[in-house]
Amino acid sequence: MKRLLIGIGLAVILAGCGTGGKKPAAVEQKDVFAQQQSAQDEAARQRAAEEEARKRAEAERRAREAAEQPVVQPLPGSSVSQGELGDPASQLKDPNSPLSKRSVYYGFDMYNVADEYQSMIEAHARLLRENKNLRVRVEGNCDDRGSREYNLALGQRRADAVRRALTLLGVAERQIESVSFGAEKPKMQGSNEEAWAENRRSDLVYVGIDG
Amino acid sequence: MTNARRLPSEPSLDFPDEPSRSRRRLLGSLAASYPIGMAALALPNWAAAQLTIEIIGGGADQIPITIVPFGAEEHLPQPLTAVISADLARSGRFRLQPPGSLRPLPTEPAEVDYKAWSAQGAQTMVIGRTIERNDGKVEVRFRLLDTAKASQLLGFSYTVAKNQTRAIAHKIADLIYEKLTGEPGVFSTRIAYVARNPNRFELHVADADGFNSQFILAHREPIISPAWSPDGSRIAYVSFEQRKAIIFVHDLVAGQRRIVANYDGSNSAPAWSPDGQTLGVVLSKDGISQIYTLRADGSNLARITNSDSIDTEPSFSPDGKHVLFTSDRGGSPQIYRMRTNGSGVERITFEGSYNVTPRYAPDGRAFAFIQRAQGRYSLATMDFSSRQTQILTDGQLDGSPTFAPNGRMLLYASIVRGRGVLAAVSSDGRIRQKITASAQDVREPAWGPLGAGH
Repeated sequence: MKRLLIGIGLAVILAGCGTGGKKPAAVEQKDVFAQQQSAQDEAARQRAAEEEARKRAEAERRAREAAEQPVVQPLPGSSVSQGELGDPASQLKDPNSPLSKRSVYYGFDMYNVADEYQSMIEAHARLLRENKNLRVRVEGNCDDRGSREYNLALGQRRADAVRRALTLLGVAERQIESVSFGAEKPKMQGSNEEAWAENRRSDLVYVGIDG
Repeated sequence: MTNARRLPSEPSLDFPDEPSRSRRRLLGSLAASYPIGMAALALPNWAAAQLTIEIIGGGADQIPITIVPFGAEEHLPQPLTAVISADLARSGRFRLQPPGSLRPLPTEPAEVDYKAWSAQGAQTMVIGRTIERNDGKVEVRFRLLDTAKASQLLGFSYTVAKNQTRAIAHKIADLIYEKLTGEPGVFSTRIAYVARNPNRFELHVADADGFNSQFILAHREPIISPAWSPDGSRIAYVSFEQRKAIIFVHDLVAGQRRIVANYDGSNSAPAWSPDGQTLGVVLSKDGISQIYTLRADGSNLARITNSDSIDTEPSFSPDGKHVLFTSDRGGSPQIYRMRTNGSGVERITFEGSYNVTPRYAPDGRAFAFIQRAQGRYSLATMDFSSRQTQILTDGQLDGSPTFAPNGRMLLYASIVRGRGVLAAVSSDGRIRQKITASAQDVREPAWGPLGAGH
C-alpha cells in the first residue's frame, strides 16, 4: 500500500510537470528561452527554500501540537471498543488514531500529497471504505500571497489531489466532495512563513461529524 | 430626475437640452473625510468616513484651473465647489489655483472682469451659482471660461432635487475634464469593493470618490471577484455563502440576484463579454479549473480551454475577439491570450515566475497584471505592440487591478501594515492615491463603466 501511494504522489507531480515541455510562442525564441530558464531557476530555488521552510514549520507545528495534546490514558481493555470496528465518530475523535489527523500541508504553489501523509490518507480511505454512509469534504486552502482566483484554483487542485488519492485507494467518488476556499479562510493570520505554511493546507471534514 | 440644459454664451440663444437621465440614489450612510494633498482646498470633513482618498505624487503638465466658489451654495446639503475641486485635483491632471483677492466673485459671465482675472494668472476658470426654486428643487448653473479669449468653453444648467447636487458636481467635473483633456472623465462612475469586518463580508457599491457607499450583500462567508456588467446594471461575483465558490449575477436596480454557476467544485472568476450577453467563468467540475462561457442567465455552458493545468482569470478584449487568462501550463502561472472560441493560444508573459490577473485596458492596446519579483507582488502593465512591462507599484502584496473606464487610472488592492486597503495609480505610474476605509479591511475593487448613471 505504501508503494502504491508513493506511486500516486509521483504521478501527481509528473502530471503537474507534464505540460512544462510545451514550446513557448515562436516569437523571440532566444530571449524567451533565456528568460524562461532564469525564471525557472528562480522558481526552483524559491520552491526549495519554501519546501525547507514548510518542513520546518510542519515539524514545529507537530511539536506544538504534541505539547498541546491533552494527555489521554486509555484504560486497559478500552482499546477494544475503539478498534477497527468501532463507531467511526469515536475513531475520528480518538487522538491516538491516525484518523485524528485531518490535514495535508503543502509547499508554495505545490499541490501533491507528500509521502509523509500516506499513512493518514490510508487510514481515512479504510474508514470510508468500511463505512459507505460516511461522507467527507476535502477543503483546499492557500496562503494569502498572490492572486485570489489563482489561489482558489490551486486550493481546488490540492483538494482534488487528496480526493484522487482516496479514490485510488478504493473510496467511492460519491463519498467525497472537494472544495476550495483559496486564500479566503486563513486558519492562521499573519504575513510570515509560519502562517503561510499553516494555511497551505487541505482539511478532511466529515459531514455530520465535524459539522 | 435631473434636468439639464446648455447655457448659451449669449443668454438669448437656446441650445438643445442635454438628454436627461434618471438617477437612482443608493441609500445608506454617506459622508467621508476628504484629505487631499492640497492646502488650498477647503473641503468638508464629515463624520463616519467610509472611504478616504489621499493623493500621493502629482502628474506633469498639469492644466491650471481656477474654480470660483459657486454662488449661494452654502445652504445646500451638498455644496458643489469642493466636490468639483476634489474630483479635478484627484485626477492629477489639474493644478487648482486659488481664486485670489478679486471681489466680488463672479457667478455669471457678465460679472467677469476677464482682464483682471487674466492678470491674476487665471487662464481657465469655472464659475457658477445655485438657485433654489419654489418646488424645492435647485437649479445649478455653471460655465467654463477661457479668460484670455474672454469666451465661454462650456455652459450648462441642471435642475435637481436638493440632495442630488453632489452628482451634478461630478457631472460638471466630467464635462470640464473632457473639454480640457479630450478624454472622458470618470467622476460620475461607481466602484464596487469588498469590506471585511469581524465575521462579516460586505460587497459595497460607492461613487468613484468613495462617497455614497452602500453594501448590496453581506454574509459571514467571503465574497470575491466582483465584475460590473458593461452597462453598469449588474455585478457578477463569487460568494462562499454555501461553503464553496458559487457565481451570482446581482441586479443592482432590482436588488435581486441569481446563481449562474453552481457546479461540482469551484465556480469563480466571472468576466463579462463587452456586449454583456456572455460571462467567462472558471469551473473545476471537469477535473481542474478551466475557462467556460455561459449566458448571463446561466444557460448555454461551453468549455473554452482544454488543458490539464489551471486556466483562470479570463478577461475579454474590448472588441470581444480575444481573452487573456492565467495558466500554469508552462510550469508557473503566466498570462496567455486566445481567441474567444479558445483557439490560437499564445503565451504573453515570460519575465519572472509568477504573472497573474490580466485585465485588458479599455482601449485594448495594453493590459494590467500582477507580477511577482523579489518576493513582491506589484501591479504592472504591458503594451501589446512593444511587449514591454512597466511596473507601476512597489507594494508588498498588490492585487486585483481594475481600470478606470477611460484607461487613465487603475484601482487595486494593497496591504498596509497587515490591513487591506485600496489604492489607485495613473496608468503612467506618476499619480497615486491611497484609499482607506473605516472597515477593518477592504479589497477586491472593481471600477464600473462610463455613462451608467445611477
